[in-house]
Amino acid sequence: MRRLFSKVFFILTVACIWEAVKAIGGYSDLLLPGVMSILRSLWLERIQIFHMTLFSLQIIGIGLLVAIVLAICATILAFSGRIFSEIITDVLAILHPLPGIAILPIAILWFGIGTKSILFVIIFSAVWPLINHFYTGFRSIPANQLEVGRNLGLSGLKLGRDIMLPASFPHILGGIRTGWARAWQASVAAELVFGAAGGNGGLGWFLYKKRFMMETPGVFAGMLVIVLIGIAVEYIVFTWVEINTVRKWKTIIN
Amino acid sequence: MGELLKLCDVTKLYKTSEGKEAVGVQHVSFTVDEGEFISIIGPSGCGKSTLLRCIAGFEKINDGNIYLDGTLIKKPGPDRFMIFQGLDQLFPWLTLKQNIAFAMKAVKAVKSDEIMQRAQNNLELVGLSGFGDYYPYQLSGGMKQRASIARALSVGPKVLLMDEPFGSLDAFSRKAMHHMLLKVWNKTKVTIIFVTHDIEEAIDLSDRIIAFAPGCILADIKNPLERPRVRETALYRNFFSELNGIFETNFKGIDLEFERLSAKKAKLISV
Repeated sequence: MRRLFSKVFFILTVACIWEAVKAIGGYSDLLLPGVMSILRSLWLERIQIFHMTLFSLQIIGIGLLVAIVLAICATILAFSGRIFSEIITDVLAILHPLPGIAILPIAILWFGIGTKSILFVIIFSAVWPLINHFYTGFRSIPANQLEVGRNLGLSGLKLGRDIMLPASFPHILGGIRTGWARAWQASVAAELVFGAAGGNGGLGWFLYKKRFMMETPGVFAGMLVIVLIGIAVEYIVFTWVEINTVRKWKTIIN
Repeated sequence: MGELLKLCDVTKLYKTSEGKEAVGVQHVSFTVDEGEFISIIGPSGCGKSTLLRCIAGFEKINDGNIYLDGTLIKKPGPDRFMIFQGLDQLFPWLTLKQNIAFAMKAVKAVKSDEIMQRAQNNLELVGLSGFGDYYPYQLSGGMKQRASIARALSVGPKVLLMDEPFGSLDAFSRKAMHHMLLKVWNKTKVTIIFVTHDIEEAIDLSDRIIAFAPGCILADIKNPLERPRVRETALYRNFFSELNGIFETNFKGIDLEFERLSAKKAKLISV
């Protein structure tokens, strides 16, 4: 209860500072819309925002899922031979620093303007940090635990599923967190650059339209929704998973 | 009691990171009888842990053969279960009971409806009956090692391989662990090979002591003392001096740097 109270207090404080800055600076709604006009825009556009949010979540969910599967395959490959681990380390060094949005031109060339291109950019943005975290996680498993597994006659996929996966779970969770954030960034960025095809778009497309029509309160409303989803997923999904796994086992510090 | 484990001319070589060959274990032969409790003692880096790892099947040996019950050992298996020195060998995501149940399920040695009861029995055996639902982080170092022993016994190994299992514990809990281990050994009659650098620990526990120097056996001595062993007696001190003497005469000319080339510490590469 006290924590909820302090959070509400924090939000109100930010809103007050926001309004104060607007009043003191004398900014117009076009440059810095007031809190109330942002909320009004949010309310007026609620149906459109709702559909676009669903679209965004769906495409990010698919992209992240594909990226996780690819990352698992890459990590297994990296563990099945010295050559593969070197190749994957090199590929990671080359492609991880490349912003996902930088391959958008190529994606459009290959897949055309539309959902497929955005999906490609999302997967590309999320897969490298995922591989990085998974691979690091697998390499930081205590040797004793792996050897107990081998002692029990486990090997290959069984060893991976029953011992390596839970033993590296703090890293895996960290990777999925980063992947989720990257996927969001990529989806919004891609839609901001070329919009959406056939009027079917996500929150990035919403921001694009609102900016195009100079409806700044709408731009902020869209950003607010993105932030709120981020907070909700962090507190509902990730924190819940953490409490029931790595925090329960004390494999990470609270 | 018949012969259970047989090592014939076992050699295990390592390479240093510069490519120089270093010997882990060289031409080692000995046998272990069923139900026997033997200790392998020697200074750090003398290859005694490597030898244990070869028996466990974790290391591929370069030469020689190791037989368990007449069968050649090629890879790790639950018939030879290893207990490590580290306090991180329990799976932190499972409770003690689940840790033991996991092991039993993995080797499929126990019917599934008996697993939980067997896990409980094993915990009782090592004095942890009330701790089945605890997670490893909630336990002290000694309790963790007890639980590891309970888990090892649950799969019914023929040999328990113990690699300085109490090396991370303080003197008081070590004493309690010795007591517990002897009780468990008496009850289960499992064969134990115990690696340590503590001569007194070896005398207190084992029937037979193998003194190990870089790569090879210096002496293989039957423990002449009656159980329970009392450290204050003259016989005990005499036996201690005898063992100690073996190391003092044999380690005179040996370069201390070589001792540090332990497989663990110098990151040697298996060849």
